[in-house]
Amino acid sequence: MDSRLRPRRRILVVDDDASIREVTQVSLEMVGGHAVMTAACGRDALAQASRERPDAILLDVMMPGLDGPATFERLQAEPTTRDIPVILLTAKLQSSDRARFVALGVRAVLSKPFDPMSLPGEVAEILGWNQASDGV
Amino acid sequence: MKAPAVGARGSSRASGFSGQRGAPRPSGASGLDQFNPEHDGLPRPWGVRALIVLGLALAAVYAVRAPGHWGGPRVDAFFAQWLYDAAAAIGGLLCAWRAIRVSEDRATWSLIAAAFVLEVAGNTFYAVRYGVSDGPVPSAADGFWVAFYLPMAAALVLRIRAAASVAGAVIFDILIAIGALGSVSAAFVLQAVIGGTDRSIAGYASTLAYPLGDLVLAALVLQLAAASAWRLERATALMAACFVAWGVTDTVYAFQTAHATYVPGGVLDLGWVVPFVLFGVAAWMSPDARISVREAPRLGALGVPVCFALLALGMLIYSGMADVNVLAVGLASGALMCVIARFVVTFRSYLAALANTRLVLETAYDPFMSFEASGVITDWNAAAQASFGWSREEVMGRSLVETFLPEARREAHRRLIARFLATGDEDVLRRRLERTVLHRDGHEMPIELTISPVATEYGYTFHAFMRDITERRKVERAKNEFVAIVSHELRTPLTSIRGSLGLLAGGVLSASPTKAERMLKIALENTDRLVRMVSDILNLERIESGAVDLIYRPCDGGQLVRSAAETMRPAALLAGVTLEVAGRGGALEADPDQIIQTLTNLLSNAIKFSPGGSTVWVESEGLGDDVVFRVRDEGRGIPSEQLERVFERFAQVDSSDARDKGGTGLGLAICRSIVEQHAGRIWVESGDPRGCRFQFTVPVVRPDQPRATPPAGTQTGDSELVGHAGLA
Repeated sequence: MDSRLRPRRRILVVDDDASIREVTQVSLEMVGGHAVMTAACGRDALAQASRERPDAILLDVMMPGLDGPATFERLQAEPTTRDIPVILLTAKLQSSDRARFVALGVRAVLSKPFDPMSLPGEVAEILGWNQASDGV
Repeated sequence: MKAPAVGARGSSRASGFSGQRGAPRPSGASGLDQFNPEHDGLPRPWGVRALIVLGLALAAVYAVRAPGHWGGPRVDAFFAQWLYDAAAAIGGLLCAWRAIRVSEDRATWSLIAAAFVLEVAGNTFYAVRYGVSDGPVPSAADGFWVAFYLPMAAALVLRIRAAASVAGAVIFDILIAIGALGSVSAAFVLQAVIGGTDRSIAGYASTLAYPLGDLVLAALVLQLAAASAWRLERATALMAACFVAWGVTDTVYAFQTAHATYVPGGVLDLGWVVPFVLFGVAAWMSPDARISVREAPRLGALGVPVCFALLALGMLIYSGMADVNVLAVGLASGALMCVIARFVVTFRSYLAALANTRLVLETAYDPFMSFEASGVITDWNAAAQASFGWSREEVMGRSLVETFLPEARREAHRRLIARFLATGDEDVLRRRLERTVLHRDGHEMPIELTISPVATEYGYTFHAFMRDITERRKVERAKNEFVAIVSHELRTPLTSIRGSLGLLAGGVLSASPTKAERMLKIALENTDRLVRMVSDILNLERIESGAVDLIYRPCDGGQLVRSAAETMRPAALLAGVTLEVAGRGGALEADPDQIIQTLTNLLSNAIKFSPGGSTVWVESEGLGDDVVFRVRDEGRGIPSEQLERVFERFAQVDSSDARDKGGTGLGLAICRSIVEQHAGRIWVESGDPRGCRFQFTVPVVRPDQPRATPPAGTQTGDSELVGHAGLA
């Protein structure tokens, strides 16, 4: 489906690494056609999520201060952000970590490095946006 | 001379008993003391040889003279009496001489010589007091003759203690030997003595004292032979023969006395006279250095009872077959002795094996325990005590499950044992396992263990060898963490590279040259970062594995500090941090590139963690044999408990520091490796009032070269530093 026909979603990308933040943003905007806002740390992410109510959050796992899982728990604790679907992005390889993250209740755990051309499609798939758009 | 002689002869020889101890002991002062039995024979002065010849000649004269030859029984007995005394004196003299001239076995030979002195004293007293007529029984002379046994027994005990290793078995053997000999002896002598001519109680006692004394000495000799694993030296064998002769003579004497048939000066006395001289010969026999242990004569366990059975037979024949029952008793005693000896041998080897097993377990490096199927702990070694805190006394008899296993493991353990007992299914038994157990203080600790079931007549016993793997786990965890961190750290720049290049290749940026250019820049920057990280990891590995050869050159600490500072000045400028350089001093021999890298790493850290507007100081100073480098900042500092840890790989104070500050997490680990390669030391202290101060020393002279006077100028350059409040 052509990206222009897709519904434009608002996604919050959280990563402490500026380069990754930028690449992810370009991928989601240019390939996926979404509107992207970014945060460099967990605290900033919480503030933005609460304020902007994005449609989804792509959250890095290892971050200084509040890390990904901790940020997710805070999001869950907050009624205004509880329902925002969260996808974790991690460079960690251990499957034990992945299982732990999934158990927290995130929608999916994606690996770094990722293919920027297919990332938007994967996100849409995970969050069921394709079906939703079909129905429009 | 009569009875007196009886008691007198029991001596033994000492040096012979030392045969099984192969190596010569370090000896004392005099020239003779220095002899080496392995190579030299025991040196025999001519006097010794003369005495031996004289003694043997006396014995020969005694043997060949016909009774009455020297003018009637009384004269004959007179000569016999003094001949007897002379033989004992010669034997004693030879033993004493040996004790004085040779340090080896000195105590033993001194005691034997003392026994001979008592013997001679008793004989002389008897001869002077009673002449050749029959004195009273007992007489004062009996005191000397009975006393003879004391130093003789002491000499033997001394030898046994040197030869035997299992004290309990020694005592047991002695008791067995005395019992068996006693039964043989009783069959012949006791019966005869008690049923013999009229005697006072004291008379019986003194007559019996001699064969009984011989009995004790025989037991001791036997024990000595057993303690020497039945390997008797020639000298030992000679002494044993002397002793047997005395034992037989004493027994016959007791028998004849009981039947009033003993005639002083008769041929029986030869059984006392000859051994006196032979003891002297034994004293001067050279140790059997030429006989190896394998070649040495061995007296089997069966030999002992057989000897006694033969002795019994001989006695019976001598007594004119007076009582055939005696033979039966003697043979039965011999057979009994045989069984007992076999038992003793078995029991001793069992005790020895047990002691050996215990020793192996107690000295084992790994913890060991045994437990029964019921779970009761039945063995616990010293290593187990060291590892788990429980002493053997505390833990023996306690329940394994409740003492040692964490709550969660208890049921599984019970099921495992129950299943094994029911079905023989060994499951995890006899396999290497890793489990968690409880230390005495309650903390859980990982161990590796193998449990082996052993069937006994009382059911199964389980033996477990264990090993505390706490440290190994730590290392494994650290290794895993290191791999995980390295992997993560490498994947982070790769993500950016893969992402930016993927977007470029995907063509989505063709309409947006600015973005495309930006993506290229990201790819480039992260490639640099990746390269930096890979080279840091490789560098560290190479330095730590010693693959990097340091190129030592004479250099100046101050110059190195300035070079590093120049390299880092742009970074400081960018961070708004003032860089103060205060180092001139410190001529040294080092690899300048490596030292500059160390300083650069430290400065880079200091700048990264310093707030804008603050200052970072770097200096060098010659201090004795070392040049000290210092880098100090006013940053957030390092918690005191982490001061040691910061030099470990990826051991950032905050796990996010590497990312946050753009470091690789390996800088300080590299610094430490370089400094240690230079045989220097690196450490960090908390700053005052804030920040921290890294310091490292490098020896003025390279570590593989002898220290010389430090090159001129080592102590220079301090003037700038002295006034520098920030350092020191």
